[in-house]
Amino acid sequence: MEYLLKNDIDFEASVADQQNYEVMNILKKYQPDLYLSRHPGSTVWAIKNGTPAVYVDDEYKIFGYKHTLEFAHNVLNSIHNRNFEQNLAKRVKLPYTDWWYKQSVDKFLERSGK
Amino acid sequence: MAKLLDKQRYKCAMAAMQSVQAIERAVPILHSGPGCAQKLSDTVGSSGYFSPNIFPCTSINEKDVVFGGIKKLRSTIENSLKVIDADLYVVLTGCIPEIVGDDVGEAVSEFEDAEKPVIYASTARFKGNNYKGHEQVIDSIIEQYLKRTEHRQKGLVNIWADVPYQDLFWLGNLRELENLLKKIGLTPNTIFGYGRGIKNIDRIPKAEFNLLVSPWVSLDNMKKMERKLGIPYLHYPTLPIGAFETSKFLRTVGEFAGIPSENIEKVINEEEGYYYYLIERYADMFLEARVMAKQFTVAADAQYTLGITKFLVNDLGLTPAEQFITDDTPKQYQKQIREEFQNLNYGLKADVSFETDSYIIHNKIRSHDYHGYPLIIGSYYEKEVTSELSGHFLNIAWPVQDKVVMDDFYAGYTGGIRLTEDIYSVALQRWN
Repeated sequence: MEYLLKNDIDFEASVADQQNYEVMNILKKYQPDLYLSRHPGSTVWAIKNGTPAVYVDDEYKIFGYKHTLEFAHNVLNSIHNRNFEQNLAKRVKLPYTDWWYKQSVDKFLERSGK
Repeated sequence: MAKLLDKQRYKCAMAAMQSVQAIERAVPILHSGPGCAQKLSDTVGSSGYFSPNIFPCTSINEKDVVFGGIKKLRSTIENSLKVIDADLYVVLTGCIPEIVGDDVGEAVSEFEDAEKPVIYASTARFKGNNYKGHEQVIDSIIEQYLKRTEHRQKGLVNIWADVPYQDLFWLGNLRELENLLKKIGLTPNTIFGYGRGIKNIDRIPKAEFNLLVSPWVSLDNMKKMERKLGIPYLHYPTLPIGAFETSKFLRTVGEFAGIPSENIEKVINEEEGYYYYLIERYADMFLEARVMAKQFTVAADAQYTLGITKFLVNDLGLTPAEQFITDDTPKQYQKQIREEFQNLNYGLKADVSFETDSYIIHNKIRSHDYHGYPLIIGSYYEKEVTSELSGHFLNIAWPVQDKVVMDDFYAGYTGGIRLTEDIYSVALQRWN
């Protein structure tokens, strides 16, 4: 994070807004090229949005030379072949209202303390 | 230099006796040495109305090699007609009578006036394998039995697909292809399996067109029917498995048959609705149970290697490693089949080898880095090499040793769901 800030790289970060409706709001607005999540039951929602997703259930899978490389290949294959998510996204109805997608993701956050 | 062929995945042309057997109440009469039917029959699913151990056979021996086997053939046909209650008698010749030069056509022509039709097909091994033998059997029906008619039945379509018995799913696939055509308002006609038989063979000339669903098998038969019976054909090279290819299939057939596209789209919409209802419910399993590498290999005949590769890439989003076609596809069809593998969605391409030698196939699988535990779909021969790689193995092509398929199928929308069930039933065993 420090590196990104120091080098003036344009990015946005959000912290701890991991309710699924919040994730979907972000994915729909930004349409990222890839979604990574280590939470069970999360990547499938990116897929329903048409976003390639990689489930990183176990960080030890990315340890060492061999598994770092395998992870890289997994990412590459996931962004290269988008058939699964694109086919599915065309067919599914998402469970959130149009109203919600028009709201800012922090809509329900309340300021506390000072 | 002499070459060894390790673990071949097809049989000799006379195994087309199984194509005859798949036609209800049709019986092969084998003009061959004793034992051929025994060697060529499959151990499961062939004890039907007729079974290979009761097929009439001339059982020719050394004496017939010297003096010719025609006399034996004549009496075998004559007595088969008396003893066996069948609708169609198909004489198949093995290697011996073809080498010594028996004039089988002449002998069979003597039965032109018999009460039941007697035809013959040349099925010696040196004429090709059982994929070619299957073509020879259909060829003999076209040449020697069918007659041209000007009467056409509106919407009637003959469906032709891959080789009965050699294709584990032949029965279910044919029935599902029929169902798909019925859904878009056509009347399918097939000759193999329960309740079809001679009456469906008699309907062939009345069809508006022939639909061939196979990369290459029976393409010559379609051309022959176009010439002799004046029936045009639509060649759809890919067995449609899953939603993407099946919808494309229905649009192609619908356009060829002149069905309004809104009718086709309505059917597609309904079918895809249910298909994606299922896929959506299990999508988390595909993502999270991915102990399976994204890369896969299929080693099967042209039909399944092409059909399954397209399904896994275009529907399930997997990545093809090298694919193998093991049916000894004739050279003239290889270029066109190769091009199909270059034509996957998102510009994806699959390397494909036409390779009959399992030794070479297995070495290539062993030396490839699948970046994880691979999915290998093929014949029983792939079981060992897959377990060496701690991979996931699914046996779908001949020879099949670990699976009984009565009328299950991989064709169509439902077929895609069945194949997905089979693949993930294997993948989940890793945990249990």
